[in-house]
Amino acid sequence: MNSPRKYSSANIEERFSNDLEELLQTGSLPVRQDTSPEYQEMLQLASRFARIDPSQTSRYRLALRARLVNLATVQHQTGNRLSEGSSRPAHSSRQARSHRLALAGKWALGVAVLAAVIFGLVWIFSNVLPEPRPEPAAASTASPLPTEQPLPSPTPLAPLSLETPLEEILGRMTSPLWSTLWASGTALTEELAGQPQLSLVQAWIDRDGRGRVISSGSLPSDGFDPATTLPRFAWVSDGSRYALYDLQTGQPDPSSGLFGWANHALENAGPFMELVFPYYLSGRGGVFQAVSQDILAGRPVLIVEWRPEAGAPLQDRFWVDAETGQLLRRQTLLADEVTVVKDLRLDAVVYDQVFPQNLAGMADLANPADLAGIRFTSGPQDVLVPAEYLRLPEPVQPTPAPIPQVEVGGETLTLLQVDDPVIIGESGSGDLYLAKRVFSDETDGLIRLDDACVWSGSASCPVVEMDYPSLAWTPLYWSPDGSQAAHLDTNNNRLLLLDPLTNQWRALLEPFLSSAQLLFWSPQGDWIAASTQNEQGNGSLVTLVRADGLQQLAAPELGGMQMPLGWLADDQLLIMQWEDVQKGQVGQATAPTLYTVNLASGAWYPLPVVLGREAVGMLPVLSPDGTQLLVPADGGAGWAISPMVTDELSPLPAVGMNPTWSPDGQWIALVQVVEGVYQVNLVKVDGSEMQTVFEWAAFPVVTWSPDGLRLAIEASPAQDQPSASLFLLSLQDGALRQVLSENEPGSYELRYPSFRP
Amino acid sequence: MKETDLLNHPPSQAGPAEQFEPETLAQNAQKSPQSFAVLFDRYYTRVFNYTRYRCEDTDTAEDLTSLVFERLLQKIHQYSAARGPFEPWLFAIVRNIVTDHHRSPKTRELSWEDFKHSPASEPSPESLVIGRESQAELLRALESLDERSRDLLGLKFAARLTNRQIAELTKMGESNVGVTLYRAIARLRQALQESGAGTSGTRRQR
Repeated sequence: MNSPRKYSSANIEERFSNDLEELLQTGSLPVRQDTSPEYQEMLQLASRFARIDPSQTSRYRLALRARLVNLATVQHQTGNRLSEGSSRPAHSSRQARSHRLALAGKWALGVAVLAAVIFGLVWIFSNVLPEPRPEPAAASTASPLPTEQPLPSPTPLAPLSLETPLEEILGRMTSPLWSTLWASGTALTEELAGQPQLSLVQAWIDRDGRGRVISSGSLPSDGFDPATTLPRFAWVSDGSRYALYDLQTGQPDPSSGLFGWANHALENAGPFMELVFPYYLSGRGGVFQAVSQDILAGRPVLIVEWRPEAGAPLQDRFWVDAETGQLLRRQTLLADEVTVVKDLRLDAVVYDQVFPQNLAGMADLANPADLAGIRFTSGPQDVLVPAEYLRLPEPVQPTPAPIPQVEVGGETLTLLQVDDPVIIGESGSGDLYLAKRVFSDETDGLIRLDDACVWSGSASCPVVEMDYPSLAWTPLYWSPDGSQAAHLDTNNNRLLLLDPLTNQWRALLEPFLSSAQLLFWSPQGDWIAASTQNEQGNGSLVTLVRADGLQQLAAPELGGMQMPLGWLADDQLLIMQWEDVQKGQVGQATAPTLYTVNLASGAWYPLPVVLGREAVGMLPVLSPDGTQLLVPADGGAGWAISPMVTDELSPLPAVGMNPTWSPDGQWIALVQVVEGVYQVNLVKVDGSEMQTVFEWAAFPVVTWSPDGLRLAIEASPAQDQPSASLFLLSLQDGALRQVLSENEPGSYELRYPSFRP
Repeated sequence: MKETDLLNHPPSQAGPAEQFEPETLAQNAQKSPQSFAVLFDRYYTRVFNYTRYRCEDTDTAEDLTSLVFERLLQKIHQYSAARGPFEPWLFAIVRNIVTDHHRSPKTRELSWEDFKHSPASEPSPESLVIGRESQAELLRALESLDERSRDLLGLKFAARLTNRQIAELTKMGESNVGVTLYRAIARLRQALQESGAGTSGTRRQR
């Protein structure tokens, strides 16, 4: 027997190593009386580390597993190993979902699953697992990976008909072909006591294990009004956990999470799920026959009758979606074939839509408040209608007024020509507004240059000076018709409006706690969307402000961090929402999700665009017409253009920072750093005609003129410069001019150029 | 998030696949999709947890784990038991992918100078539940460590490799592995004490 090893401070690390090994192998904490409190604390800490399991927060385990099995199946069937490129589209968990859905389309996932099942059965029967033993090394000698080959195209299956073999009908109705399903319908069950139970149910299901089912609970069996019926229960699953909530009490059901499942966490979420997860039918015997065809829920259906066994008191009638195999209705009848004891029926189904990432109530299964606003809806996108949302009053139409003459101040600005061509442009860019700060007396002012002068080629232009009451170094945001400009006075927490006709400022809202320097005017100029701090000061909400000062929150139920990105239409706002974790707090940071908010109804809808976490720092940029969104791609290494209505992305073959759309939406300006030089590059949205139009030693900020023919460029101070520089660039002839004040060079700055439309 | 008793039910000892040696599972996975799924089930937790030790958030860990198993599917035919045990081979792939992730160029983030975060003045009721907070707290503490320490802690606690296997994988001496782990735990303890989290929920009185 070995004597205990003596440890000293010199070999304390060795002792710790041995104790750690024992801890990990036995699971028990070694008791060491002869060690210091610090040593014991370290062992306790190691014990805590040994017990944590971050993988419990993983949400895509099942989806990844299914995809890998499909890939492995294809690999085995084709004899080709998948090269890295062939699985590349699934590199990100977010991209993986997109890839899987794209692959699935209407048929592919089901085909792959069926293929996997068939292949698996064949394999199991032909290769009864032998006693495992190591393969000879030669058998698994590495071979070079084959060249990249595309995945085999799935073969669409013919719709079910009365001529379809019964075995195939049975196979398809027990394994319906969809990757996601939104369904709405009713469940009628006749209890033995004779009291019929009717409930309205809606389900959003993803095969990867996620889903939400809401049910009305028991309703009058003689009819109900779907428009006023509220959900009473909600089952939610994030793929690894699930819970049932009573929405009336706001409490989780005590039995939540107690039940196991075999195929999907929600397969036991009420009788309705018999239609969604009909696996149980595959082992059933009896007489089975296809009897007719019909239309149900707008889908062609095959009607199947199934009497389980001779003399059975009950029989079933199924309405099977001829294309997907999904059961759309199941009637259970008594032997008289007339009395219905159960009738489960889907009235609306939508297949293979992108599953909403932040479906209400899934962000945190322990927070039933997330489910508070859930309503029955008419489609998959219409997920949640806030209960207390106020209908917005009619907007006030701005009254156009003639532009009066304004007084011209004494100062003039010099337009220093940087290169040779003489600028001769048409007067159409709009007056140029600049913020000016004089360092010596720390005064700020707003100045205006007449566009006729700016682009005329004059060496100098008179300016109109006006107050700049905020002393805040923030831009002007012009209304679409140029009748007013909004300005965030972040020093005094005010939202100000400038009337360019009178050069007067007025406070629109005070206090106004903005959380980001971003304002977006609605296309008609009725509303301003801004990001404001929530009451707790730990998140941001999207606030809409009208010209008369009326405020309205856009989608307060979403919570978290919210940011407006622009307007899709006059009543459709685009916002981005994500969860942040602040220092010292517990939670899970999430990748942002895009939503549109309908101002008329208050409803918000998730968009299928998949964003990475980098979008928090690289905000997506909406095109001026609200139809395209520039989003960070490749983990933030590049940009891609999204149509927003699908999850498709068109990579922009140009890299850079701070992308800005030209007013006509045809060009994008980006700032790229090449060997320490900051270049302003213009590229067409299709990636063509990329050209460098400006270079500087520090970061330049680009502002397009309303006609898209000119740029104002605010160039940050380079290392040897005391102040920022302002340039005007004509894209028609490439003429570049620097704007200078009469003040001593370096004693002032001209910044935040904006063009009044 | 909640803690599980991984010591009594470690992922590597859960399920019927445990009757097979890792090398056998890997070789079976070369032959059938179902066996690859068995391999996936057996190693998903350990791979995910290792990547989570090495990166900043769950989303990134999901992405890296996805990459690992895609790479594993591509490379599984190259594995031979004659060349060595499977687990160090697997975690060599995992480490390479995590290292590539850390080497990938980071993009410049725009500054939001007016983006005001107000720290919560009082802990939320949830945060008072020690068990619930514990995991997040420990993962946050990891961020105070250098990459090598996080790598070794991940290989030890998440991947459950022995010091010898870690030494072979990292080309360090076995004793050096032990010393580095010891010092990493010591620094973690210090970091947790400085953050006020203590080491076991029973903070020492000073």
